[in-house]
Amino acid sequence: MPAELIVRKTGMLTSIQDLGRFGYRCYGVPWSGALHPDLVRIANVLVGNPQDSAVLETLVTGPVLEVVRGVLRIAVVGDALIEIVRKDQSRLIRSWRSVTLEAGDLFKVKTVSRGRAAYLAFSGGISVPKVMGSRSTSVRGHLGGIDGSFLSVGDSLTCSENSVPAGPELNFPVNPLADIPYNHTRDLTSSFLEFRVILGPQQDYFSAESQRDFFQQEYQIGSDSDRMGLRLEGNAVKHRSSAHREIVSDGMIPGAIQIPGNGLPIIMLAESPTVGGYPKIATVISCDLPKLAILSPGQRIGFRPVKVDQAETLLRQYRLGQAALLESVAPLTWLSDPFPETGNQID
Amino acid sequence: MTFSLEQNNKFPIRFLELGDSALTLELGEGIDPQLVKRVATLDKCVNEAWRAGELSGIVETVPTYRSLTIIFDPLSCSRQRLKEYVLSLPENMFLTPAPDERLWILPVCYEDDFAQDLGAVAESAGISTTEVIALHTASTYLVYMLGFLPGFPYMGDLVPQLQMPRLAEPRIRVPAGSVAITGKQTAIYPFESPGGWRLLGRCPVELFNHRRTDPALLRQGDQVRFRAISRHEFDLISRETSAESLDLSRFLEKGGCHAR
Repeated sequence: MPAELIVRKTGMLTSIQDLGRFGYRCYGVPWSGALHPDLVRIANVLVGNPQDSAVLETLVTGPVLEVVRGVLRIAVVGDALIEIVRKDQSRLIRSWRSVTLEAGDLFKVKTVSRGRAAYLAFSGGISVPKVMGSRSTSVRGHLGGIDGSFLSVGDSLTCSENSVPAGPELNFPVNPLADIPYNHTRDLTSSFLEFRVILGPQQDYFSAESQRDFFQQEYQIGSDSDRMGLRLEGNAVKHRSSAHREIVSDGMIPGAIQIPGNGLPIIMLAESPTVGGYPKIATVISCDLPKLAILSPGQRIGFRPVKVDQAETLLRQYRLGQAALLESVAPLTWLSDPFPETGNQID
Repeated sequence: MTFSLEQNNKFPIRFLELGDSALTLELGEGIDPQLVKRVATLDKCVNEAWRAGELSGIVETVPTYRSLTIIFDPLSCSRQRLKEYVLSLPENMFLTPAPDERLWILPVCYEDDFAQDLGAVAESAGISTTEVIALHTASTYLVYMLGFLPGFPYMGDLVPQLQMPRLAEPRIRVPAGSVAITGKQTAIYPFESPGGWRLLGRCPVELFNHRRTDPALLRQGDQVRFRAISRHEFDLISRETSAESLDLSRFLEKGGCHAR
């Protein structure tokens, strides 16, 4: 009997995502997929799934889910506190580990405390039909997930298999988000993170002086950022002339930094349209994009230019590092749990 | 490296870097049918070379008005090899018209609440609404590219009388199927979406459906003409669309349906 959960509270902007829908940009179909794919991989490994299984992405505040049928393992990746209510007994656990739930359990994911995204993986993966090769929800494209929408109260999530992995609960011993500050306003405004970009494709729409300003500026992530893009606040970037404020639309991918008419940069993310009509001064390199994509509004950031060959070397190192990180998943022991619970045993 | 300007004798190609995992091959600047045909031809060549194993590590390609963006995995695709391949293409290839142009005759109902901006367009053009419809249905439009939303076709060119800017205040909800104009362009909204184009009517044929083998009805290079239909005919076609029993080939005047 496959496990089933009912959504009791949605949290903010919670959606079903996997690693993305590739191959259809020529039709105007965005990739979608998780803002931070590497966290999806970790979450899936913790519950014994293939790395590309469908998970929940939750932004800012997490959902409340009730297990109504079956037994399953669940893991939350990203920093959030979790409350499990079983037979009126409440227990808090941390994220970055698996836990086994049974029918009747209530699983509450509290506010995400570092960055804005957390990922919930379920043993077996979320069973929704693949649409054009992916289960990812594209709200703009009305595709994937459940009716192409963010989760709603009352939605049913069914896991693909009834298999609960044998053996002990698993733990991820390192926090790859450790350099992202906690979401307290004071921390965010005092910390600064730098991201590497490659100039172009339309850097010639900006004077040399304007490009220099762009790299010397500090920006804050704006509160109207979403899965399509991060809107930055700060000093406007000047176009070379008013005729350089728009282009005849050309191809765009996540990471591209558009400078619209008002001069305030927009960094395109997973839900980026396939084409855009504003000049793109630079593009964030592949290995820096996942972390950037999950930063909270208010975070201060800046940019540094690198060359393509440097970006390739950095990407190679990043991928080796991610693969090694996944190898560090290990059984959860009393010692590896910094908040061990006794008495009220759930695992 | 910023960008390089390469000369393929007659047709210059600029290789623009779109991060570490994409290159935009820019063939020109403007909106022009000849330019779009060159983009479509280049797209076809790159995809064929990829399928034939001459190019590797490509994820997908995105043809636009004036450029082709090639997206790849930087660790399994050599951008040097990609550039050499593109520059080795014979110049006359860009002169050969794309062989598989299709002509669609799509039904549009220009009545009632489907045509929110028809009156205002007529007024600012200084003609009657009947004349606006006659002008909109008289031209054959080229699908310059798809984008904005899945299956959204950017088509042109509109006759000068119908060319006008976007609405000063975009609508929050443009209904699915809306046929709209702005500048030199006309389009059909495949889904409900915010939008600032001026609405002339509504098309009952589904522009995008992921359950179809070819999810997008139109593709770059297709030709489209509109035929005005009554509200009654609109409702009949809509019913077939809802039942997913509509035979799309009945709107195809010329050319076959086959995958890209």
